[in-house]
Amino acid sequence: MDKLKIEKQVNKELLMLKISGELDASTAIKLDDEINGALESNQINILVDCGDLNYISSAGFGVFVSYIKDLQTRAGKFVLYNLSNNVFETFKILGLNDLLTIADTEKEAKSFFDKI
Amino acid sequence: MKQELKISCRKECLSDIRAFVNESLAHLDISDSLLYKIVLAVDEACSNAIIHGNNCDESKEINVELEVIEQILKVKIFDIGEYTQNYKEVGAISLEDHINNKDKGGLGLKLILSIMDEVEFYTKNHLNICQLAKELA
Repeated sequence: MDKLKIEKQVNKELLMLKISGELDASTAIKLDDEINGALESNQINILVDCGDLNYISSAGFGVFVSYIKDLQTRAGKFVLYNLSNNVFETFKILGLNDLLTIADTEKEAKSFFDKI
Repeated sequence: MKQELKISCRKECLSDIRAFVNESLAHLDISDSLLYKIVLAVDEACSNAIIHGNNCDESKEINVELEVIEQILKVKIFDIGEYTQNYKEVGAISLEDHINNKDKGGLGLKLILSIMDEVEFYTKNHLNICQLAKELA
């Protein structure tokens, strides 16, 4: 059974990813491939539903960190939402909550893309 | 009582290591948040040993030991790999540099150093030992 599941949906200019399971050193490549593919297809506004993300390690954080600069350069962004307390606490340990946009709900998350 | 796990140097074994830590510490009166962070720190230290120390060589193994003595969790991870990077240097790289360099790695040490009270790496009798400690009270 896959430890990490990624469901993808494209809505106009917005790429919506729902990630479920465990994002660690053995599964991060799957998310990396998905985001790399999105950027190659010029999808630079990425909404990530973390509601069913049970665990994230530095390999998962590393995927997000490695694309922050590219997205900034191309005026795109990640918005993550629906994080569990434990996952959000880990973002805070690294200070990533200040560098990535994190929302509570899907509605709030989508509001960050209202102008596209 | 000391809990021990010997496991192959495969990234796919990390979930087994997390389950081992969770099960070994489940009886302790600690918050879910603290348990999650300890599991994360041990996962990061084992990832480091598996990936950077042993190049994911499945023929090699790492040993993980957990022991609680007087409300202090002591973790030791043993392996025989070869490390080329100094953990203090890697841990000192700023988040800004990670972003500017588009680095995917190196954040694990930051997490370990932030979560655990004591972090030490040393070699004894050709064995690499990563030693972590965390006060649980």
